[in-house]
Amino acid sequence: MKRQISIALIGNPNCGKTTLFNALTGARQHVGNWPGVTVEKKVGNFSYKEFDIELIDLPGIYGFSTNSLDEVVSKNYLLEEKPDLIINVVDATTLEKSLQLTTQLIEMNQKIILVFNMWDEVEKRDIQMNIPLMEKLLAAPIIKSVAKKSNGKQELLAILAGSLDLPWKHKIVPYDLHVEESISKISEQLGENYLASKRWVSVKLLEGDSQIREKIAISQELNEIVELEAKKLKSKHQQEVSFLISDSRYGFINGVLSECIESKGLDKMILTAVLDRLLLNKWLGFPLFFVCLWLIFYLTFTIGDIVQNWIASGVDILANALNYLLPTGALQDLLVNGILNAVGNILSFLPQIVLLFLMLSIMEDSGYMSRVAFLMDKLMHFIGIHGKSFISLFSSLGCNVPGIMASRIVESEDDRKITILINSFIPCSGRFAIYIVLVGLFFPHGAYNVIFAMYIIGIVVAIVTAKILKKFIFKKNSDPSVMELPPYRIPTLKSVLLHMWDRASMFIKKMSTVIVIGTIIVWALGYFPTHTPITPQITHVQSQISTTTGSVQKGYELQLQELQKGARINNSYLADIGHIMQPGLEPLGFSWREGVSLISGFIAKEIFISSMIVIYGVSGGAANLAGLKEGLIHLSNMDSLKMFSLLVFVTLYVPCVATIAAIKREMNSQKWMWFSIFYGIGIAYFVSFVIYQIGRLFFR
Amino acid sequence: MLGFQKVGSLKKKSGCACANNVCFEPGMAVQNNLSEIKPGDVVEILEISTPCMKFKTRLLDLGIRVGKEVTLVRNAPMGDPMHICVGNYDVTIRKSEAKFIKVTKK
Repeated sequence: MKRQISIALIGNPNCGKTTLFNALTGARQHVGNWPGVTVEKKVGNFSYKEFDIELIDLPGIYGFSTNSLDEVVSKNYLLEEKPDLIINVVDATTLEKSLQLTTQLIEMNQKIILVFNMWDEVEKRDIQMNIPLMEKLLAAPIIKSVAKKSNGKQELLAILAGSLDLPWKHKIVPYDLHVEESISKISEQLGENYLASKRWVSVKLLEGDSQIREKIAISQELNEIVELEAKKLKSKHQQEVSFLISDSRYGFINGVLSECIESKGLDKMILTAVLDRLLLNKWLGFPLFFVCLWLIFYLTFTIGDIVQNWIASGVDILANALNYLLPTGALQDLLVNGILNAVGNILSFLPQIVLLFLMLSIMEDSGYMSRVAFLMDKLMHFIGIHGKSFISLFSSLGCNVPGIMASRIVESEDDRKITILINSFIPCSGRFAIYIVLVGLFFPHGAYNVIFAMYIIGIVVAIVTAKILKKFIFKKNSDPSVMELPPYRIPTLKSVLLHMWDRASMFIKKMSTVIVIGTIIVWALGYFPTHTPITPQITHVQSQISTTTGSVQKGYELQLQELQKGARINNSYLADIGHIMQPGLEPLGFSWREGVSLISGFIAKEIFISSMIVIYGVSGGAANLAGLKEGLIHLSNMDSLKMFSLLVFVTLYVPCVATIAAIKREMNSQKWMWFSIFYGIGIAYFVSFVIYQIGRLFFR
Repeated sequence: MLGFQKVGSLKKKSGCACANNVCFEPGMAVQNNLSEIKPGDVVEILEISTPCMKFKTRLLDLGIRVGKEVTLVRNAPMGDPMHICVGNYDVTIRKSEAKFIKVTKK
């Protein structure tokens, strides 16, 4: 029986922590969320000698304040779950900055192993360090590592195994005299068995850490002592206590470094500076960025399309097989048009997701993503979100699902949430497919302008929604924009592939249920009641079938199928709902048939068109667009203005069920999922209403 | 006018009758805001005077503290944010936030 061990992986953003995580756990990792928040929780497993190790990859953080959700979540984890050991991954080329977090870990009395990553860059820059002395001064073993080449992995594992049972040497980071006095006074008042050492708790209380204050249920008496001491320190030093302490830590680190760094070597990697001169150039920066965007678009549309076509063909074959094997009836229809449809739908998103995340991983791992944020920040900040949000929104032009999943790259929780919620207003390729069909029918001249208008309307609504959310819901000030620009590094194939795999499998595991359920519900509404009404047309065609043979008969049989399908849907619960909606739809310019199609379009936007074709009884299916136009004009009095209004509604109303699943998953909240649905419908209704009613005044 | 801010303790050159308030004794520090410097300027941080704790903590986390020497590498093509070099790593910061950091040219 192996020993179960839990280990936490901590480090600054961009220190190569995830690469190390991947090197240790391989594909045996899974991603979830920390409860109640959108911060990702990454857990992996591996075995070494007599140990079964669970490795938690905590978010990249700079410290343990209460400022960012990432820091709060990490602090909570360390205090409550008490891992057996912490691996602190450190960028060895920027120790002065990187050791800030290390110092705080030392103060928390955690058992740590330091991994000095990017050691190859240390050597290239010719930085000389006295590692044994540093190990002594920091009271922790240090491992030189190049995580992307798995250098140092074996050494790490060996030290890890050895350290688990060793007693730990504690190290005190000394503060200013006055601060130390205050700490003593407070420590005296603390009982035993507090979360970490008394010293650490005292420091946190002095700093005013509200999370710790709540956790230890501080007494009134102790609270007063803490406040008195904090006031004393503040007036003596003219600074907040947390900054005093930060200064002391900084002094400690500099002391260690001055003793242990023998030669500082080159300041920076030349390549990064040169590349930045090109990629962040005043004149070339944006054009080069657009090339990158074009590449993303192109790849997802071409290769993505090809793979999607294979999937569609495969699903078709399966559908035909099922149609042949199973007797006609509810089961067959459920399997083919309900479940298989849903599965096909789910699979069809995979190529887009995989390809997009391939590009995103390369951009992030190479360091280019930070440059993108730098280029786009001014514009995004105006809207109320972050520079990195742009990539997420841009990706939605292809498909909202990977677009929303991509919002993960935005670090600030609030900015991320806003990005997710406005994403669905960016018209995706599904909506584009609808535009292509319908715009051509009713706007023979100026079709491009109408399509362009739809995109503009979608973008404007997204921007306005962002501003509203920012003003009323996500009110607190943005996280500071100060962000690191890491040096350019070549991404490893392994990391990129793992990231793609991770996103794709998460999509299937977490989002399929919602998609399948949504699809089945809409299917059921369209299928039942099962009694197919007989219309005169159907009777006529049936008589033709019995009196003809061969290919003529075949033709009539196909026609019969279409008629029956149309009759069925005209009689279904879905149609009933459509009829009920009719009075609500009239002010927008559409009828119950559009209502039915809009509901069907919830499954996937493309289905809107096929649904219209069935409900208007258009024979010959999607090829007969003229027939569709005729049906629209004849049965619903459709004209250009009404069509425009309908298209706007299609652009803005509820995102498709897969997008809803993505929103639910990424926001980690059902409440926001429902918000998206109702807000989308509300906005779509409002804008369509305004456009149609005002249009009527002008064009009649 | 010349983009300088007078530091409180500066003394006017004795006998100077100018109304500009920009004459000062040689050797005294001249203050700018970080948001005002030009690409290529090397400056030392004198003071971080933001009321926002969150922001100041983030600055300290990233090593941007009093006494540190930083260089403005470039402004973004749209004018904002700024790309600054802090020793051996790089950081971006919006001008609206940089204006709280008082610096002096080296």
